[in-house]
Amino acid sequence: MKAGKVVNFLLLGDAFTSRNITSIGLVIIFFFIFYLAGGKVTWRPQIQNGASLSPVYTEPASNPVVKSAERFSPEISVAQDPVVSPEIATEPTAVDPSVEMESEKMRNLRDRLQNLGAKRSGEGG
Amino acid sequence: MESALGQSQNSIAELPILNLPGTPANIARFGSPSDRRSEVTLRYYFYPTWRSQLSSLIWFVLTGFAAVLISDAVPEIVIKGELFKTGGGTWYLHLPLLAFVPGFFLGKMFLRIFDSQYIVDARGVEAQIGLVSLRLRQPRLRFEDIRGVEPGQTIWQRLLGIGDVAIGSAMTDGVEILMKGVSSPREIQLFISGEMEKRVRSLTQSGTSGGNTYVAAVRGD
Repeated sequence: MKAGKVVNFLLLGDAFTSRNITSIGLVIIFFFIFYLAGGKVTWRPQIQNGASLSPVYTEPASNPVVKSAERFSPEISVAQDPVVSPEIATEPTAVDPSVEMESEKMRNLRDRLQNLGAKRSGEGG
Repeated sequence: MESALGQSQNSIAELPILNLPGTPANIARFGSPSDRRSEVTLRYYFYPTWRSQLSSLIWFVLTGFAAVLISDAVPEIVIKGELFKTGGGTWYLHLPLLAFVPGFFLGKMFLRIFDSQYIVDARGVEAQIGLVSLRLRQPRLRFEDIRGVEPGQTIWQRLLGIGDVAIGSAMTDGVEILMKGVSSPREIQLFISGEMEKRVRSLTQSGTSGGNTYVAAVRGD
C-alpha cells in the first residue's frame, strides 16, 4: 500500500487529471499553431572574412531574376555591384575596339548606298 | 471542558485527509463529509470546467487557423531576431506575431480555469478566488450560516451540463460565494443542501441533549 503511494507520488499520479491533461493538450496545439505560422529557432554559423555563406543558412531571395543571374554568372553580378567593386563603377565606360570597327563599317556602307542612289536619280533625270 | 476540547482537537489532527474532485461519482462512492467526519477529513474540490470556456475555445481555434494562413500569405509578419550567440554561431528566433492572438485566448481560458476552486468539507463551503491573480479572496461559509443554494444555467450551459451555483449567506442579502462554470450544478445544490440539513440536525440534537455545543463552536464547526 505504501509502495503504491510512493510510486504514485514519484510518477505525479495526482497531476494526471482530465483538467490538467486538457491543459497540456491545448498548450501542445498552441505550439503547433506557432510552428505552422512560421515560428522557429534557427542557428547561423559565424562567417569568416573572405569565406562564403554556409549552405545551412540562405537569405530569402528578394529578386529571383537577379538571384538566378548571379547563380549562372557570378562575376557579372559582382562587377555590376558598385559596393563590391567601386573602382569599376566609378571608371568611365570603356568602348570595345571591335564595336568601334563595326560602327565605322556601317557608316561607310550607309554613305555608299546614299551615293549610289544619287547616281541613279541623276542618270534617270 | 478543556480536556474535551483538547481531545477533540487531537482526534482531528490524527485523521487522514482525503481531497477528491467533486464529481457525482466520487460523492456517491466516498459519501458525505459529515457522515465520515469521525474517520476521515473528506474534502471535495469543485473547479470551473473547460466546457465553461467554450466561446474562448472557439476563438482560439479560429484565430489559430487565421494566424497560420495569414502568416503564410504575408511573411513580413514573422519577425526575426537574434537570441544569443554561442561559440560557433548565433541563434535566431522567428516570431510569428499573429500567434499571439490565439495565445491571448488560451491565456484567458487558463486564467479562468485555474484561478478559482471551491471546497466543500464537513464544516462548510470555501471558495478560493484569485489563485493565479495578484489578489486572493477566500470567503468561507459554515453550513449553519448558509441561507440558500441556487443553481443557474443558460440554455447553452444546460446543453453542456454546466452552470453556476450561487450560495447566499444569512449575514448578507447578496450572494456570498458564486461557483462559476462548474459541472452538474443541480447535484452540487442537492449535495450542499443535504450537508446543511445534516449539520442543522446535529446541532439541534447536541443542543437538546446538552452536548458539546461549546466545543463545536470553538472548533468552528
